[in-house]
Amino acid sequence: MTRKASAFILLMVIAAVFIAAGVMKAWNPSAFAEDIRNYRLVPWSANVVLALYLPWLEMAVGGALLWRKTRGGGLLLALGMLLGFLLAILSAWWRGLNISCGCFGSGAGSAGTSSGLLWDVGRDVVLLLSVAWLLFREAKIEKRICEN
Amino acid sequence: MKGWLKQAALLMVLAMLPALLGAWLHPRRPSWQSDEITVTGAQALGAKAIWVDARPSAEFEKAHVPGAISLNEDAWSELLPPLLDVWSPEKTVVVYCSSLSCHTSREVANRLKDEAGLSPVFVLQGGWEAWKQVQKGDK
Repeated sequence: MTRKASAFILLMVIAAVFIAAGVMKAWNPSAFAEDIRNYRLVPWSANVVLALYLPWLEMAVGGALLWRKTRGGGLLLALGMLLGFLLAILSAWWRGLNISCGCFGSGAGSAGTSSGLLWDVGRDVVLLLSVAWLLFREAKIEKRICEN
Repeated sequence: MKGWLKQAALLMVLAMLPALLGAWLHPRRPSWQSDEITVTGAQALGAKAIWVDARPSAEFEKAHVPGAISLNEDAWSELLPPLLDVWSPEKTVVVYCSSLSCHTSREVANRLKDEAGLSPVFVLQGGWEAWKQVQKGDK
């Protein structure tokens, strides 16, 4: 498979993951707010804002990845969100909190087990590296276009 | 890169619109009022509070908040009637489990609200561990 085809498939997979995660969370923001609360990072009112906002941001990012013109911005946001999530889950683990990641809506994910947590972190790192590679590739393509 | 930042900012603004609509119209929108209460907040309720211990019965037997009623999901139907006997609309139910990372207090609180129709029901922040800490501090 060519590098171009692999990049395209990877992009579609990441876009699908973001859109699916966003739709599942947007379905029940109340449950998602509880999932965010379990991380014990921000006060309840901020949990509510995040629970209402993040699912739509995920869907917007997923949609942006599908469109050539907005891909760069979408990848940049995806990188930031994945990094933020990785830091949040690692901080919860560091503080000994027994949490379900809430990655795909309430009740989905690790359910607080260490193997589940490892799976969540592993999935996030794989997505993070993929997005970083795609971003790097996109920057190269853009540079080439500018030079010509 | 500058163009990407602009796109990212635009996406962030775009996502705000459905989020705002959701805050207003979503049937499952979260309440802005937290259902958690601190130990000092719960203590300030005085005789108005009904303390509910959601930990397993064995842990309740060892030690519990004075006056607390044991209610856990393992023996729900046996343990619920004593709580209903002491409950009245002017009382506030405060449910606790072991610590900050336990979830049973929330599950019990949700069942008390949804199935038994009790209100207001609060979850004690930090649970039994936080209560013990505050007692140590008071001494």
